[in-house]
This record gives sequence, C-alpha cells and structure tokens, in this order.
Amino acid sequence: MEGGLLLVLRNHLSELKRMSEAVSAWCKGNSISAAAEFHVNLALDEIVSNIIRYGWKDGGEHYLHVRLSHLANEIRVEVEDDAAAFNPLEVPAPDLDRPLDERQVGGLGIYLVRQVMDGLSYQRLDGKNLVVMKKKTSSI
Amino acid sequence: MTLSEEKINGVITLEISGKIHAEASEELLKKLNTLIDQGERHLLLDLSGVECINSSGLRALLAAAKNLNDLSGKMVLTDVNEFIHKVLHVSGLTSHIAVYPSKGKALKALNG
Repeated sequence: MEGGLLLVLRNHLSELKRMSEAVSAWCKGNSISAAAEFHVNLALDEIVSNIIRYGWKDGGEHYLHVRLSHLANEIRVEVEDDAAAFNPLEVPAPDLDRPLDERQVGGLGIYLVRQVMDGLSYQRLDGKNLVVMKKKTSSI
Repeated sequence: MTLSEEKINGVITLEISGKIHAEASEELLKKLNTLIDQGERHLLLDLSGVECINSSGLRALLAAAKNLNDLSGKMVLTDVNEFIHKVLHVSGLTSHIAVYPSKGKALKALNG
C-alpha cells in the first residue's frame, strides 16, 4: 500500500542529504518517474535550504516538517516551519534575458521551483509558514 | 563532489562527479576562479558524472562564465544528462554557456 512520507528536519544544512535520500527512496517505492523524483528533490532542496539559511536568526535549534503524498497522479509536497514569515511567491524572478555581463548571479532558486513543479502556494497560519508544491505524475 | 583536471590542446578539462549543491558549488567556483586567475581562458566542464545541480551550482557556473567572459575567455559544458540540461535551459544558462553532447565536439568548437 502506498504511504506518505513525513520528515522532521533540524535547521542544519547537513540535513539536506538525509532529506534527498529519503525522498528518492520514497519516490522509488511509489514507482514515481526519475524526472518527477529529480524535480521534487530539486524543489525541496531550494525551499528547505532557504528556510535553514534564513529562517531563524537566534542561532538555536529548530525543526521543519516535510510531508509527501501521492494521490491521483499528483505528488503533494508540504514544507512547514515556524520561522519568520517568508512567502516564496514574493521573490522576484531573475531577468534571464539580460546579457551575461549584466546578469545578476542570484534569484534562481525559487524561479527553478516554479519551473519544475506544477504548483506552488504559500500560507501563513498560526505562526507557521506552509509551502505546498504539486507535481503531476502522468503515466506515459 | 569530485573534480579531476587535465589539459588537452590548451583547454583545461574538468571532470565533475556527484552533486553540485551548497558546499560543492563553493568549491567548484573557487576551483574555476583559481584556474582563471592562473591565466586559463578555455574551460571544458564534463558533467557526465553529475547527478544533480541546484541553484547554488547554477550560480557558481554563471559566476565563472561571467568572469571568463569579462576576460574574453570561454567555458563550455559537455555530457549533461537530460534533467540537468532542462534545468540549465529554464534558468537561462544555456544562452550564456554552450552545451555539447561530447568532449570531442566541445574541443573541436573551442579549438576550431
């Protein structure tokens, strides 16, 4: 029987490796395509590393929750944390059309998430950030 | 991530394996900038062993490409898997950094 995945991660960048290994194992266990697995891992890496890097300013230990589920040809990815309010939808996209010498080096992370996932939403609820992403997994 | 380097016909070829994330992308950018500071102007990055890349990795590639471009040099990528190629494309990097299917073709383009 297919099950969801719940990960509780500490706010330390070393947790990213454990997260991607767990996500890859879950994808394989749920017969999810290599492409969808790659994109879900990429999107989670971007979102979670931003939270870990910038979410908390007190130098203390904090946790965030990552939940994956697969239903009706769609993977649902939730990331929940109690860090300062941060809405990834408000991050401006990089200007990709500029010539190389004018390109700003940053701004790519959230843009990539929007490109490779099929949905991105944000809510601030009860002092927590909740990011929900979706990835379609159509059978070929 | 592992890096192995050789020089073929005046072109520095860097074979990269593993994941180009976080610390690895800092290490990669440091290596690329060191090569550029040493006077290298043609860099070929073989990504056949690269499993994945995130925005830090893309930023490192873009920063090095900008640095080389300012010095009239050139950086090319080869043997990129289809998923990474898509990521390079959607992030606009393929407008600035040429991608070749093989080292042979890339070397020909750099030397030709």
